[in-house]
Amino acid sequence: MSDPTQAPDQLDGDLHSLSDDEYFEALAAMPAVRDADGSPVDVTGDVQDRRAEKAAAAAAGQEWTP
Amino acid sequence: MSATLAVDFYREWNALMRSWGHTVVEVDGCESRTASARAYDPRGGFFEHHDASSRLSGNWGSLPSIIAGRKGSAPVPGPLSNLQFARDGQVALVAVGTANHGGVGGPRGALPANDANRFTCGAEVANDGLGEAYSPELTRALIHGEAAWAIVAGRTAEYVIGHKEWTNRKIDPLVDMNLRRAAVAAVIANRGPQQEDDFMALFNNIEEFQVAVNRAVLCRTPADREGAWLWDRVAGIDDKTGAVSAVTVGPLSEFGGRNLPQALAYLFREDGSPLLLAAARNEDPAAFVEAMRPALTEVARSAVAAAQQAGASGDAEEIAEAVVARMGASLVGQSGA
Repeated sequence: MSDPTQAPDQLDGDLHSLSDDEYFEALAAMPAVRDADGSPVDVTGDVQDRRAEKAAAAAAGQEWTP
Repeated sequence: MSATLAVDFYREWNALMRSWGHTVVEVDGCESRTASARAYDPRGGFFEHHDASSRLSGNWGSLPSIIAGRKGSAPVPGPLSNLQFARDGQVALVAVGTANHGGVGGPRGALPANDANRFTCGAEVANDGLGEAYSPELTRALIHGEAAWAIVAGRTAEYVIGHKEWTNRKIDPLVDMNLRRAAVAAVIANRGPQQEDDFMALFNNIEEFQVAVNRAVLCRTPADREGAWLWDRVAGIDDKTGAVSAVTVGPLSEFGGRNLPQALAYLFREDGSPLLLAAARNEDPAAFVEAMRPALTEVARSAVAAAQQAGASGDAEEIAEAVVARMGASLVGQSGA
C-alpha cells in the first residue's frame, strides 16, 4: 500500500487494490494504441464487455478483478 | 538525461524488439507521458513486476489503470509503469517518462534508496500473482525485452531487478530472478536471441526444467537419485541435499561457456524442446527418449570412451572429470575432449 505522505517519486501503485469503478473510469478514458505502422490497435477489444463479464463471473461464483 | 534522450532510448529499444520479431504497440502520448517533472533516465535498472490482474482480464486488462493511476484516499498518479507485457507476449510502450512503479526500497547498486522511479524502466506483466503460469511467448518477450533494455542502456543482466528484490513490501514477480538474469545474460552475450536462449522460455522456473531433465534424460523422478551422481554433477545439483547450485545457470567451461540449459538446448536443437517440455509435464517422456535416442547415444558413446581412457590411469574423480569434459565437448560440437 502506498503511503500518501511519501514524496511523489517514491510512489508505487497497487493495481490489485484499484476499485472496479476506478477501472471502468480508466477504461473509458483510455488513449488510442497504435502498431508499428501507426494504425489503431483495439487493445480494449477483450475488455469491451467487462461489466457483463463481471456479472457473469459473479453469477458463476467466481471472483472478478480488473 | 534530457527528455529527448529518453525518447531516443525507448525508440532504440522499440526498434530492437521489433527487429527480434516482437509486437510492440504504443499508447498515444507515450513519449510525453510522465508522473514527475523531474529529469528521467531509464538506464539505471529494469524493474519487473506483475500486475495482479485477473486471468479473466485478457491481454490488456490492467493497461487502462496503468495509464490512469489510482485515485481514492491514497492516490498514485499514472503512469504506473513504462511498459506493459501482455499475456500473449505483446508489449505496450506506455510512458517514456517517470512511472510510479518502484516506490520505497533499495538502495541497490547505483540506484539510490527510495528513488528508483526516475532512474529505471518499469514493466508490468499481466499475471495474477497467484500461481498463474507465464505463457512461453510472454516469458520470451520478457527475456528479450530485458536484454534489449540492457543492450541499449549499456548494462549487464545484473541491472534487471524484480520488484521483490527492491523492497520486502512486495512479492512480485513470482519468478526466479536469478534464472531470469541468466537467460537475459545469454541474449546480451549473443547480441540478440537465439534458439538456445528461447529454450528456457519454455519453462516457468528452474525446478520445472530439472524435472524435465530428470524425466526425459534419466527416466527417473527427482526422488530417485540412484546412480545419478555424474548427471547431478553436470547439472549442478548438490549430492546430499538435492539443491540446485548456481552452476546450473552459470557458464560451464566444459560446455564452451554455455550454461546447462543452453548446452541441452544445443543438443536438443532439432526438435527436442517441445518434446522436453512434454516430458516435463509428464505427457510422453518415452516418446521424448525415443526421439532423442541418436543424440543421447552419441553422448553416451563419447562418455564411455572417455571413462575407459581415463580409467587406465586415473581415480574415480579423474574419470568423472574426463567424462564431463567429453560430454561437454560433444554438446558444443567439438571432436575430442
